[in-house]
Amino acid sequence: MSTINEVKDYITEKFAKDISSEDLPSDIDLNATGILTSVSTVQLLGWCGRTYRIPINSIPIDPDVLKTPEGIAKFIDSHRVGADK
Amino acid sequence: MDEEQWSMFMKELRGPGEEEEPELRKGFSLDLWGRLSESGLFASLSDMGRDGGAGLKTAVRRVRELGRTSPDRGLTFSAVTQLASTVYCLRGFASKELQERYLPAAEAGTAIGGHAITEAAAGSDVMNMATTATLRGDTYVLDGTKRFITNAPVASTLVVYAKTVEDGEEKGLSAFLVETAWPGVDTSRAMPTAGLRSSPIGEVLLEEVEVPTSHRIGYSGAGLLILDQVMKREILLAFAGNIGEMERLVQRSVDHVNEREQFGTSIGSNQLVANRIVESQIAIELGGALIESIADRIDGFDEMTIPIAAAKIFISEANVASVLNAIQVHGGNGYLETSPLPIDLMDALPGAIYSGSNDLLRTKIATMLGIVN
Ligand SMILES: Cc1cc2nc3c(=O)[nH]c(=O)nc-3n(C[C@H](O)[C@H](O)[C@H](O)COP(=O)(O)OP(=O)(O)OC[C@H]3O[C@@H](n4cnc5c(N)ncnc54)[C@H](O)[C@@H]3O)c2cc1C
Repeated sequence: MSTINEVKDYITEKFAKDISSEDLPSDIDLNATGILTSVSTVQLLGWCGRTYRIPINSIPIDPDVLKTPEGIAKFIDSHRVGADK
Repeated sequence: MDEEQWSMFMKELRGPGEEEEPELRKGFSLDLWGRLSESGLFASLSDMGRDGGAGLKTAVRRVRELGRTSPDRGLTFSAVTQLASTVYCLRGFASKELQERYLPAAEAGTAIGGHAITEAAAGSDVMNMATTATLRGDTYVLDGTKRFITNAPVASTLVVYAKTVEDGEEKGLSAFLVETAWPGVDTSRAMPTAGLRSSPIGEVLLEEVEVPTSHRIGYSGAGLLILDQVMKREILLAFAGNIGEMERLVQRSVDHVNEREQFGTSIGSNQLVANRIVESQIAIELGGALIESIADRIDGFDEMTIPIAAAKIFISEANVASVLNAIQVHGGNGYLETSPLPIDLMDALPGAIYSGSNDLLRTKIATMLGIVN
């Protein structure tokens, strides 16, 4: 499964249970829609760290990339272990 | 990293006797700060690295030792603030240019730093802060008033967190490195506290302060993410210090209960008395192990919010309990003005308030666990 689909699955399963992952647009603003709050952002980052082995506590993170599912997928792909930085 | 310098300073600190302690803790001592700086403590994070975190572990070990050795809890608290708010923040998030300009003096301890988040209407509710940073050309203009800022009265730099507005758009919180000597910055209003008196706290007034864009730390709008990481390190260090302080109390209490005799025998031979000390030692073992485990894991792949909140709550509350136990086993002598124990109590109490209040952290753990509120 592609990263973007995994991201959408996680978000809809955890924070937007009334939307199916196929119906979640890749460019939806997760902050403006209230899907991501400060606590759920921490949870999302925790999932990124665990699942893709990203040292989330030791890298500077641009909050803009966490705004949309496609931004999150790009963040994961550029930081996961083995990614070219 | 020079272990020899550090050991020498620790030896030096073992000097003053108990009766001198209350005197030592009345106010901030620039001389003591200077000697602590020379010990190399503030340079401990220099081999922080992105993946290893060796520097952080060294800093945690040293702050615990400082807590155990120094009678001055305020000094330890101010030192932790310097390490987390400024040294770690710059190392972790600032541009190379800012690092080159400000890190050497921060790590030498010659420039004292702090961080300014809290405001009158934004304590626990950080996002309610009113301080703004408005981008005008290539400078941000900062306006607002901060309160309870550790080290502010003696600081030459502060990391100020402010709501950022760029081209009329709200970007969220950002962090800025501000020199206290800049026009529009006023750190002259101290806020005398009941405890931690040797750690100066004050207000920070920011009036039309022009901050070059190059002084923004990290991405625009990344303030909350940066603060989250800074607070994680502040908690790790501050409560490692608390563990050391509890070790100091245990040693003092053991000496006292062995020496003091009632009913023809040492009071420690009464298990009810001994148990009060044992309880503190149990908390030292548990809290110390948790701090070490977090220091080992923090640069890995796990989200650390729950363990760090748990450690903070557990150690801050155990710290207060252990001072109360120490006062109890010292009897009336522990309540005298000349005793350091009542000061220890006032120093320990705010541990449940700063770096995120314990009630708020409990709520956070519940939310992270998925408990709907
Ligand atoms: C010694 C010391 C040093 C400090 N150093 C700094 C510093 O260097 N920089 C800085 O910016 N600030 C600093 N502070 C300020 C500190 O961060 C704040 O005091 C803290 O965030 C709490 O804010 P408040 O005092 O406004 O209390 P409030 O937010 O008014 O809270 C009062 C009480 O209500 C509880 N409460 C409020 N809301 C909730 C809720 N939603 N759920 C459960 N409980 C709640 C809190 O837990 C607390 O017990 C320091 C404070 C102290 C005591």
